[in-house]
Amino acid sequence: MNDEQNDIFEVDAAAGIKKLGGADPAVVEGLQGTVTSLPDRRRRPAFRSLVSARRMLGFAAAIAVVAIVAGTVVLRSANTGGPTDLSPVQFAKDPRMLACENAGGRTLDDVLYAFELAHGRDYRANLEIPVEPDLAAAEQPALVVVFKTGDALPIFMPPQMPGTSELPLDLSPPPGVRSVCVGLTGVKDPISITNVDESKIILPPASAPAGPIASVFVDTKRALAAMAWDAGRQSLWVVTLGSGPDGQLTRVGLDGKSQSWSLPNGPNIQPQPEIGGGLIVQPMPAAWYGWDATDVVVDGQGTVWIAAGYGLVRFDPDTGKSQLRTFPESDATKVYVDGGHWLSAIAADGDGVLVARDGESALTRIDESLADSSTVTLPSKWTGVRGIAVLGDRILAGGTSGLGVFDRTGGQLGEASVAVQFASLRPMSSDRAAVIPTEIGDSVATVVDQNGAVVGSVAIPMEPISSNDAYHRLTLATDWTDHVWYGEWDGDAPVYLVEAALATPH
Amino acid sequence: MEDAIIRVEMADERAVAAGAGARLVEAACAGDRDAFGRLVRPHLAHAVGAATLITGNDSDGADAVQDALLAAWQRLPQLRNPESFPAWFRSIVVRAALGMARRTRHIVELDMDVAAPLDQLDRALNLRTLRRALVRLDDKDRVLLTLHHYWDLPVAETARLIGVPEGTVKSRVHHAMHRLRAAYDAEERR
Repeated sequence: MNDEQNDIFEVDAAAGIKKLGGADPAVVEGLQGTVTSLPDRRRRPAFRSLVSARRMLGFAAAIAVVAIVAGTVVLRSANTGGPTDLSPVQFAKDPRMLACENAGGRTLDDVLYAFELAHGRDYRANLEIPVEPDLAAAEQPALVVVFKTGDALPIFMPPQMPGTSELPLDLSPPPGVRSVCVGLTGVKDPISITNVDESKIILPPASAPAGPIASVFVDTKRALAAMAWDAGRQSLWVVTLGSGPDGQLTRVGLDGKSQSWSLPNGPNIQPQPEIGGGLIVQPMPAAWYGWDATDVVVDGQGTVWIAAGYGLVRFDPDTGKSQLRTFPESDATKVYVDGGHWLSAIAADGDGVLVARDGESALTRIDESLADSSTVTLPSKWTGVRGIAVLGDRILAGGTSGLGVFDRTGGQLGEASVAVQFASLRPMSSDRAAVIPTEIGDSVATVVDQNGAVVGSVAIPMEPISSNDAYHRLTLATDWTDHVWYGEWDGDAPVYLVEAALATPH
Repeated sequence: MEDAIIRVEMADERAVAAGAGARLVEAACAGDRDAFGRLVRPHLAHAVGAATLITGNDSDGADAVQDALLAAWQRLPQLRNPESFPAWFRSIVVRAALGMARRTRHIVELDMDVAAPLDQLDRALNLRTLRRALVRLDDKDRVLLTLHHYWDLPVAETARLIGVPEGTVKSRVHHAMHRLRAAYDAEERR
């Protein structure tokens, strides 16, 4: 049976299934009629007390083949646009800046960011603070000045009682806050807002670079499922999927050298080692029902990890060896209100990975032997994590309800109102992560620091896509130098590299 | 008379689509059976069709939908988002049909009623054979093919119902269709 015949059968069978499901109108009307005789809710009789409708109506297999593919990297002209300048220097001579410096007893060196608002009344778009009456009605433009630190709290000491000694006083501002000053055009006295929580300061989106600075054609015949950047090999790892079988793992090197491995596609094909270029390549492990890669990451040792439904693969590209860890699969004959317990996110964590599962609030650390090494139990609010990033001793994890910052024990340290879509949270450095969009239409990624505070953005210029196909979504990867790779899940477009626009680039 | 019924169905469908569904849910939660009837009417025909495909025969399909109606009526106050009633009701129908299929598995009828003369597809796919081939599949394949090819559900909803990532739906449909093809060929040789 060739592919064309199978395609014809699928079309015919789909039409046939629709016809077979055609309901007899009399049956439908009969059922509609039973609605009026439904029992009261609180007295729940046995179902059969109703008239019976019957009576009433009468990595499995893997063929690991090393092959050079046409994964070509095209470096384009260097980006000339650069990030939006949020630095205060550009406003050094602005009277509003000078007024803010004077009011706070500070200098330009004390200022972290400065940006303009078209109207002072728009301040709450960037400052999540209570209403400031002097700003709320201000029509004129305003300059927002964010200082590097907060202000010491004024303390009024009572007279010292005889016979007592003074307690040491800590007059430093509380951590995690910055003071803000807003200068209105034409108004002498600025408005000072002391000690604003960092998470309440929303920087305006930085402007996009002029366009992608590089592009790479990976494979236009398959859907792009996931990508990860491999800093050690200066390569992009890309998982592509065909319709059903025919998945492929590809390493696209910036040096122009690339490799690909066919992925297992079912339990019935036995893996066979193959010899390519004199190298015996071990097969990918026997896989589960279907190869359904959902994410790929590269750990600190350069090992590639692939999450796929209810399986996790650890693949060493240098030896070609791979291992499979399977997780208990949801019973496919049940209906899941919570969507099942598949692997919903993975993140590199030392020589292992942290794994999140749909419908669960615990993160499991899997070590290099594929064994559980620890569990991080998050508050129940964070059930169903869709993205994880490990930044030093902090774990950033989140879903559509937001982004949480946790310590290694799962204790929550902070929270940001940044929605995390599936596999959209990626580390960019040791203390930054990007929440990158995975849905067409959301074209700006948000960069957060290890406290969850927004510190910049990345514009992701995409061609407009008219289709509503659920598979049309973005897949992205970050490298560790403030760049983002992005590609379209089901498109013919190449993968592009864009440069992040950060308020404080590394 | 039939025209009148169709017009009522269309009016109900439009009303539900226009957001009246929330009001119907509210009224049905308060015990209004007529409101519940209007709420489910636009979905009943598809529910019967899907349940028939999953259970493998017409009468079990109808019984399953009656199960689902009772379950939906009893649990309606637990529905948190009235706008999601269609998806919620579909999940109840699928669950009821699966339960019915298991209870009656020992009496699955292989030779079921298909309108005579046999309806032939343009490319000569025999509906009777196709129906027997569907019965040969296991429950999860039948559910998947029903959700995907009969109900035309979005991938995201299908994924949520069967508990797999969205990307998995595509390959599972592919494999299920592959098995249906094999079952169809086997039935043709009988």
